[in-house]
Formats: sequence, C-alpha cells, structure tokens
Amino acid sequence: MRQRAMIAMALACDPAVVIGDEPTTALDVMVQAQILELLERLRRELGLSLILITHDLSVIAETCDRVLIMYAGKVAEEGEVDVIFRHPRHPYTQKLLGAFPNIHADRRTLDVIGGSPPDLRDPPPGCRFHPRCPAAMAVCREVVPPEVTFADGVRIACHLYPPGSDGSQPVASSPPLAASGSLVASRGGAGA
Amino acid sequence: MTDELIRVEGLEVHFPIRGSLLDILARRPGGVVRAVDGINLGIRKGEVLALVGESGSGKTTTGRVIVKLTRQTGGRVLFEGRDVSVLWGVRQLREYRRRVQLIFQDPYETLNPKQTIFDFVAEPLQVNHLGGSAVEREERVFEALEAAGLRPAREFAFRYPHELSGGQRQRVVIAGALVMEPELVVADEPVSMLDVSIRTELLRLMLDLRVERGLTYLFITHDLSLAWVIADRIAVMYLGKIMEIGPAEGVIGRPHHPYTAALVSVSPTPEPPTRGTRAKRTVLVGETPDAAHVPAGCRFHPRCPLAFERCRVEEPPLFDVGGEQRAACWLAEGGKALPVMPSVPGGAGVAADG
Repeated sequence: MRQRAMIAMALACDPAVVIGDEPTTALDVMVQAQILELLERLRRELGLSLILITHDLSVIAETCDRVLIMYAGKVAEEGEVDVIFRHPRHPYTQKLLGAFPNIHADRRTLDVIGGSPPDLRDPPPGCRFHPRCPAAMAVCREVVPPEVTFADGVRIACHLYPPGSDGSQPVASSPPLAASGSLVASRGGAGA
Repeated sequence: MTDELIRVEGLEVHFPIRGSLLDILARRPGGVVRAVDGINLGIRKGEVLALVGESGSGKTTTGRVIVKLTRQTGGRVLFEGRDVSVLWGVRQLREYRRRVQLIFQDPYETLNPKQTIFDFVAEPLQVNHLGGSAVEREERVFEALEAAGLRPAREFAFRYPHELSGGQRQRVVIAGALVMEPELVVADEPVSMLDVSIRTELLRLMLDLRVERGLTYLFITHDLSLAWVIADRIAVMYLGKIMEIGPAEGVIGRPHHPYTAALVSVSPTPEPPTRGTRAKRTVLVGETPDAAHVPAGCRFHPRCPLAFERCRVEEPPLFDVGGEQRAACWLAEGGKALPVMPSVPGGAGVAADG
C-alpha cells in the first residue's frame, strides 16, 4: 500500500519519465508481482518512460525493454533485455546472471563472483572488472576497454569484443591471466 | 523419527493484544495475535530446512522460539528427543545456547560499531566461560574467522565493523555463531541485505560449512528461489500455519497447495518472460491479513483462486501427497494433483469434487 501511495505521488504531476530506484526491493514476492503489474499497466496506459534502478535482475527481466549493466561506475554491457539476458557477452553480465537463483531452472549451479567491488577512490587500472574476471587477459590490466556498439545494438566495453570484430564470439587478443575460475556450488556432496 | 536433531510439536505463539483502558473497564475481551498457530516440524541431522513465508507468516517467530528468544504459548520443542521447551534461565540454557546458534538478517545492526571483530567473536565464549585460557580462546576465534572465510584471520581480527564490506560483516556474524561450535544454526534472512554476487558466496560458505562441520540449518527466508537453491526440504508458512512441506524438488516442481503454486508462479527469474510464461502467473489479490484476524476455515481461502464451500468452514489438515510431501488443502486430500491455477486474479474458481 505504501509503495502504491509513492507511485501515486510520482504520477500526480503527470510526468513523462519516472525513475524507480529499487522500487520493489523491500517487498514480499506477491506484493512485488502486484507492483510490477501496476507499473507495467501505467506505462502502457499513460505512455510513461520508466528508468528502473535495481540490483535485481529478475525485476529487469520482468519489466524492462533495455538494460544497461554497470560496474564500478562504467558501462559493462547495454542492449535489449531479450538479447542480453539470453546471450550475455560481457563476463560480468554472465557472472551476474549465473549467480542469480532461478526457481524454474536447475538449482545445482550457482556462479560465484570472487572478490568484492573495488574501492572507487583507487579503481583498478585497465578494465575495472579485471581482478574478478575469469577471462581476464594481460591487456585488461593496462588498457581501459573501449565501448563498442555491434550490429544488434549491443554496446560492450570488454577486450574480448574489440572494435572490428563482429561481436558474436569473444576474441582473445592477448594471453590470459591466471583466472579465478567459476565455482559451481555443490549441494552437500563434495567438500570445499 | 530418530535421526531428527530438532522437532517442533504443536507450536503456538499467541500474543495478547492489550486493550485500551475503556476496553478493560467495559470488560471487553482482548484480542489475540496468533503469530504461530500450531505447527509441527522436524529437521534431520545435517539437513537444510527452509522456512518460507511472506511477512506476517510467523516464520521468524518460529525461529525465535527454537533459539529460545521467544516463549511459546503452546506445544513443545524437542532437541535430540529431549524437551527443551521447559528450560529457561542462563544456567539451564547454557548447553542449549552453545549448540543452537542464530544468525540475524542485518549485519549492519548485529555488529557493535565500537567493538573489534575479535571482541565480537570472542564475546559468546567469555559470556559462557568457554574456550579455556586466553591463548586457547584466541585460537578458537581465529579458527572461526578463517572458517567463515576471513583469511588471514589476524588481518581482520582487530578491525572495526565500519572497515568491512557488507559481505565481510555477515561473515563476521557467521564466525560469531561458529565459534560456539553449534550443531543447529537458525539463519533468519542471512543474505537478504546483500548484493547478488556476494549472496551466492555466503550461501556457498554455509553449504560448505555444513559438509565440514556437519551443521544442520533452519533457513528462514521470504525468497522461494533462495530456498530452492539451498534447501533439502522446504516448509511454506502462511498466517502461522504450514501450508505445504516436503523435499525442495517436490514443493517447487509439483506444488499441491494453491498458495505454494502461486508463490512459485510469481517468483521472479532472470529470464525475460515470453507470452507463455506471463500467462502462467497467478498474482494473488490483496495482502496477507493480520494474524489478529485469522479467517475461519482454511486461513488462505479469502485469497485462494480455487476456494470452494468447504474451505470457508473447515480447516484442512496436512494431507500426504506422496514423496514425503504434505499439503494443507482440501484439494490435496487423497494425494490428488492440484488443478490448473487460473492466471487472472480472482478468476473463476474451479469446482472440486471431494
């Protein structure tokens, strides 16, 4: 109810753009589903544009047309939700999606992103994600990856997808670093 | 069952509502909040049982009774077959408190900002006069910190909470529980305050600790997808009662209670919905009623899209539906499968025979 009141307040001035900052994060699933349906209906009926800020990938999958994935203050990957979520290309996007529990999928595999987000007072040189990236190469330590927009409208900042490549497959352009490989959560069976 | 570490029988927690002075003068009877309203639950040794429910379902109260922070008004709690519901007071509970530890939801509030990590983890040892000499105690603290993934422990031990990230703080909280070498850990929304990427690491840590230390978990969460990832068995609570309980695969894959089915259908996934998946969602209308006004009959019937006459008058018991799964729904009587749920909220109820 309170969140509905907040939405009513936001709509009172007949806005063209509504920014929702984690609008459903504190809510139970059933209420979250109600609020997401309400937002969807309002968007259709009032022709609103909606910017949704969230760490919850499932909310993006449910409500958004386009998604922009950020890491440490920079764009990692941007494009249509349908494209990005079905074929994530940036290693960070892949890790994020792999770390998200999915009730309609097999539960035995849950990705772990090692390490923690960087201190932005002193971000890592080169690609800011490289200390945690399983596919990091030598070049990632030194050069900030440029943002490249590919034919399907996906924008990626990753050395695996350099300008000039067609963006469909990663291209290893320099030797890999010792990677913190993906860990598969074992349920009960094997030890650490 | 003999291999059960803990068993809850007929547990009830009813909080009286204090009426106003006028109510008392008029001798109007005060109301009662039925937070937990008669539940049975067993957790086997080494098992992870997830207790899932929306806010107001009584899941947290159940956890608090098990760790003896809240007094039950009915029923009992058996630990290794021994009735512990009668134990109260520091002396009687010393042994139980060591063996059963609680991990709270919010690592930002659990830690004292003026206490070092070492002092926080060592405190339960001091309070309970455990751990022997100062040197031995220090060893146990370091060992617990390392087990919780804070390595090297010496580097973390003398820091303050504000110097740590959210994930590290929750590891400190886990270390504070581990230092007691518990057998049962009650974890109340242990990862709900954390980011997705850090969340999986902590779930992973908890599962690893289960293997290494033979821990048993009661994992309390409102998030069915988390329960799906971590639990062996899932119990779904609604308004103080268990609606459905069974192995995770069964409860999620073949729910026999309309409430579970609705929860599963609206549980968000990171897959963009297609027209097909949208149509399958059952969004219930309204919110959970408050526990001071529990509906008659089946307490879920006012929100149930499949409710029929019997549900309004008679409360269903937990029916066995096979595969160690049980559901408290008249439609599950005799182990019948659940009819297809209408996807339109408040849609036509399905006629049921029997």
